[in-house]
Amino acid sequence: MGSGEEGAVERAIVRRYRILYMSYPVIAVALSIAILALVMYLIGVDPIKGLRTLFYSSFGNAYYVTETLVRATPILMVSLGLMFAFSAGVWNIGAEGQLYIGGVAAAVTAISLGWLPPPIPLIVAWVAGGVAGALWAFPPAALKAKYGINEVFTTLMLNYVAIYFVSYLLHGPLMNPTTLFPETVTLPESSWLPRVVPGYRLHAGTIALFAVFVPLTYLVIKRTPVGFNLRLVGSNPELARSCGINIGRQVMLTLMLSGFFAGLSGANEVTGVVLKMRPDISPGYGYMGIAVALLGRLNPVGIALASIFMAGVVNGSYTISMMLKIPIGIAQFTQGLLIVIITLGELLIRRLTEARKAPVELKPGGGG
Amino acid sequence: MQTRVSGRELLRDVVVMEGIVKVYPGGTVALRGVDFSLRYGEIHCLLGENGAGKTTLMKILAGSLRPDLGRVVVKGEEVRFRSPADAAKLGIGMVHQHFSLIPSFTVAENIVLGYPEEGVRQKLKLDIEVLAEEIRRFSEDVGLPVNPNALTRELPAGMKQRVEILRLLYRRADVLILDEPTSILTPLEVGELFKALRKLKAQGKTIVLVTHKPREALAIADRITVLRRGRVAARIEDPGEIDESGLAELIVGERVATSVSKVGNLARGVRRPALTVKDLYVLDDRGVEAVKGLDLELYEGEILGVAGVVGNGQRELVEAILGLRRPVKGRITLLGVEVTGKPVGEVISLGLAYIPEERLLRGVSTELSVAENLVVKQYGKEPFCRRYLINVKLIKEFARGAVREYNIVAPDINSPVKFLSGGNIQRLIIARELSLNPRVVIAEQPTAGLDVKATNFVHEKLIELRNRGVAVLLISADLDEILKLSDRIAVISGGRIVKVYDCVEAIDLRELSEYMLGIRR
Amino acid sequence: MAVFMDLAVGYLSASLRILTPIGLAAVGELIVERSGILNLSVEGIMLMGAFVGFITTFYTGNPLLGLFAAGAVGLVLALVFGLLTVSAGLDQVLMGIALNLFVLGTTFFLYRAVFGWYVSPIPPHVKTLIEPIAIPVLSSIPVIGPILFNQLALTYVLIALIPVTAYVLNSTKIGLHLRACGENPQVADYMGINVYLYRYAALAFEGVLAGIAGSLYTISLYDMFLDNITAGRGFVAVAMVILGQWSPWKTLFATFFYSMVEALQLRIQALGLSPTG
Repeated sequence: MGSGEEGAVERAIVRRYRILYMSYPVIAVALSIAILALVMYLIGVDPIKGLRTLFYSSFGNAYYVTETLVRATPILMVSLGLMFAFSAGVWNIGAEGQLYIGGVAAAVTAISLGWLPPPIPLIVAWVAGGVAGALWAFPPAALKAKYGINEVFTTLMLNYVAIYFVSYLLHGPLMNPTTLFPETVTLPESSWLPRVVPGYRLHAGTIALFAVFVPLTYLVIKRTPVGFNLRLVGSNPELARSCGINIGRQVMLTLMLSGFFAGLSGANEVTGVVLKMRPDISPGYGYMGIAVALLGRLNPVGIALASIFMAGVVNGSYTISMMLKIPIGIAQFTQGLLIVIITLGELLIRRLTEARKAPVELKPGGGG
Repeated sequence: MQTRVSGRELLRDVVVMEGIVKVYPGGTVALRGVDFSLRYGEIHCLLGENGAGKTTLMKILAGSLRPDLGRVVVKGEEVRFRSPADAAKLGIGMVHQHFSLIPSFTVAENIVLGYPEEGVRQKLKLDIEVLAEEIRRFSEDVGLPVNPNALTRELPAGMKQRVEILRLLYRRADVLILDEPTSILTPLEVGELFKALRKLKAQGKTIVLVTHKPREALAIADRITVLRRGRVAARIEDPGEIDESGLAELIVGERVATSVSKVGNLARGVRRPALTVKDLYVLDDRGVEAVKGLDLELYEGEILGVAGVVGNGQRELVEAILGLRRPVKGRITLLGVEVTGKPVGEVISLGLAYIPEERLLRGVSTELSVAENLVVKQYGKEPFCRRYLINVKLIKEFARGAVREYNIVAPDINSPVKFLSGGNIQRLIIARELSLNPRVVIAEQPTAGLDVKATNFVHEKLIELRNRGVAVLLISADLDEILKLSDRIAVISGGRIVKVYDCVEAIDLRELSEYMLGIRR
Repeated sequence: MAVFMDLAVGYLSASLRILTPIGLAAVGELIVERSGILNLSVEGIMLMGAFVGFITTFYTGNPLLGLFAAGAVGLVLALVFGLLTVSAGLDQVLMGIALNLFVLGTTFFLYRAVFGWYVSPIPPHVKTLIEPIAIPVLSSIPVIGPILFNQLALTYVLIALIPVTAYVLNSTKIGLHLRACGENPQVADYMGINVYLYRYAALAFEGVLAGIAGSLYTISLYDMFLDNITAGRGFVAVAMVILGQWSPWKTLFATFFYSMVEALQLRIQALGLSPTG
């Protein structure tokens, strides 16, 4: 590995970079917990007691743990999909809309195929959810691949379109005819995800996700040419091009793949938790997925941990808001905080490590 | 170095630069102690090859760059410019090779842009019509008429240049630096520019014309300074005493064509073509023909050096061969297979390796690790990938071997490439490309910015390849490198191969540089 | 006929009411985008403005103070965005989205922090609102009177801002320099223009406008705060600027068109013509 003298400085820099890089998610979590405690203090709640309750009500006993896992499932599903897109440098902000479309597609499929023997309705509903999510991501993907139109704005705006569209469907053709609530009828039992433990909401989707999807996506992103292609495109598209990779195809692939995962996430909620499609199917899982994907360092294992953390904060905040009379919005607040801290830290680290290549010119101004 | 400027010089010289040294981060020494002076009301040509340091020296004078050593005296006062605005205050302005104009603005808007205003009232109001009239009158007064209401993006190159010059004059600049102004002009426009420059001189302006063309220097200069590899090679007080060939020799300098450790040329009789380019036409990014009717033949077991001034179609030629840029017309045949317009992956798999000029842009991904960068062209193939799975252990093993064999100094094989030095990045790229067992290699400025050790390493590797029967296309602006390594030399100028030397030993350097500089065609 | 007239007058007035906040935010965004920044956090700025405007009005009973506070908080948020993107050079789009999510969570939380978790079925509302100003005499002209001369003061401000913005952009040196910052910051910098200063100034302008625009939802159009009450109106403003090709007048027309559509949709719902029946 070259002469020790020469490599020593570099090795030290790399070590510092690695420590910073690996520890930043922990710092971000700690920082947001600290800010959380401060806020609790400011609104007159003992922060120690508040945090303890928060922790207890998300991980304190078996029931809470399973509930947290159930909550983590849609977040994790969305986030694993976003991992592919973000790895390739494609910023899909539209997971929320893709989730809604996937959910409504899964619900419609399940309801209309309910007469078939299980597990056919369930499987078809999941496929329908995933495909619908992927198709919802198609226009931004095509616009980006063909005309280079920034995907952030298109995917973001399609969230609103999706949510309004679903709301229209639920107030109209899909409305429950007996209750007249803006929601579909309850799904036929043949399409329900089986529950794992009697008395708990923990369902097969959660188990499948943690036991199958996480290892599978890990394998794909870290151990297959598909994942490697994405990371190459994300880190240097120009090099990828001269290695013979078709950039446009990669953009299409990742955007639609992340849409597929978001759609599955919607199907999961519909067939496993809510058992019908409702206009409030997601309290922002699509957005939480962004924070979780970044917090998890675009690594499935990290993302799994981050999604459990996020789910714990969401669930815990519901409980403590009742017990301690703390406003329920603390979950949304933490989520927003995390996203700001994570994005900020992520970009700052990148800038700090690039500072070595400081520009030569005092002032920019053309010239050869 | 600290010679005092005499009183007489103070009266005569508007600018005196002494002992200017400039080292770029990364170690490239651009200027190695240059003395340069400008007299009031002269047209001074700064002549030299690409990379001689002309632009760097002028950027220092114009305040865009700071010198590491040396001093600059302007109008009798020692100065330390922090920005182009500082230089502008003393009447120094520069027209860069790339225009600093805003395409969507009108000519008048571009000219008044950022002009230091007096008084709030003037700052607020911008009466387009009054302004346009003022600019029109001004441009006619100085003899460079323009249409002030024209959109800048619609102007031809010569007019844009005129707008840049006018902008400097409008700011009352009296020392005008023009960096390679003729490189983008048609001969007719060059004539007009020179006429205008003479007019400006008559009005007492001092003009520096940076160029690499001896003919132009002789056509207009009052005095000439020739730069060569960061040093002053000659100062010519009276251009009447010298001719084009003499200047060309001064620019290129004494060269010795030595060949290192080359085994003799492979049997000439049975040489097989590895790469054939026929009547190729390629557009550049702006849609202008950069390669126009280029023919080239590269044989197995040789290094063909493509000599030429940067920007004569080299980049577009390479991109067309690689499949990164679709040619308009022509045929490219690689190892007997026509590859014109074929996708990159297909071309690579035929056995084409590429050592790109822009290492960080096209050579490596700085975020990925050393090991990953080493297999970036073959991780999807046997033996690194079997049954859809990548064998990470094998990749690491391979990377360790490559790091050892090519002496790549890296913290470890898992660290991101951004922590490697330029020389080691180049070693990494070469290790990767050679591991593909290529039959044709394109090397683009393979030693630019490298230190002596790394340069020698690259040279050895290229010769080793050739000795193994690989065809090497060496594209370099460094004539020494071309002469040292090549079996044959092709000269590229204006998007065409204008001359091929089959025997390097017998080359007349003066003639070669005349071909390169476009004096001879 | 008279009924039809009343309907039309009501419809156009409603359109103008929808137009005002989006138009104000769009003018701000237009200036910012002309200086070379895409500020997606305008959505969050509006939402924060809506919240702060509401809280201030709720406790002081003075909607003008509410407007003022909303503008101030908008200014602060916009400058924070500037700090992150202009000075620190971080990705504008990502930071915009991040700020929006932060504001969404923060307002959600603070609303409950202030009014308690068990918000009564009737949400808290402000008693005094920013009311339309009936211009004497003119407003009593039939048909056009109520449409044109019985609007919020801010509607008139918006209408006035359009030619002013167009003039500043196209006919002053400030505008020229601002556009230069957007078109080619390197050239602008090279020509001695302080690009940072122009961008910060543009952001400050937008922050104040978008903050005030947001507060109109809570202290003029409605009298209460709801979670995510702006519901993507900030993004609509960005879209209007793009649709209006970065020209003040075209942006105004695009926004007006959008407002007509939204008002129409509200009318249809109100008339019970919607598919829900």
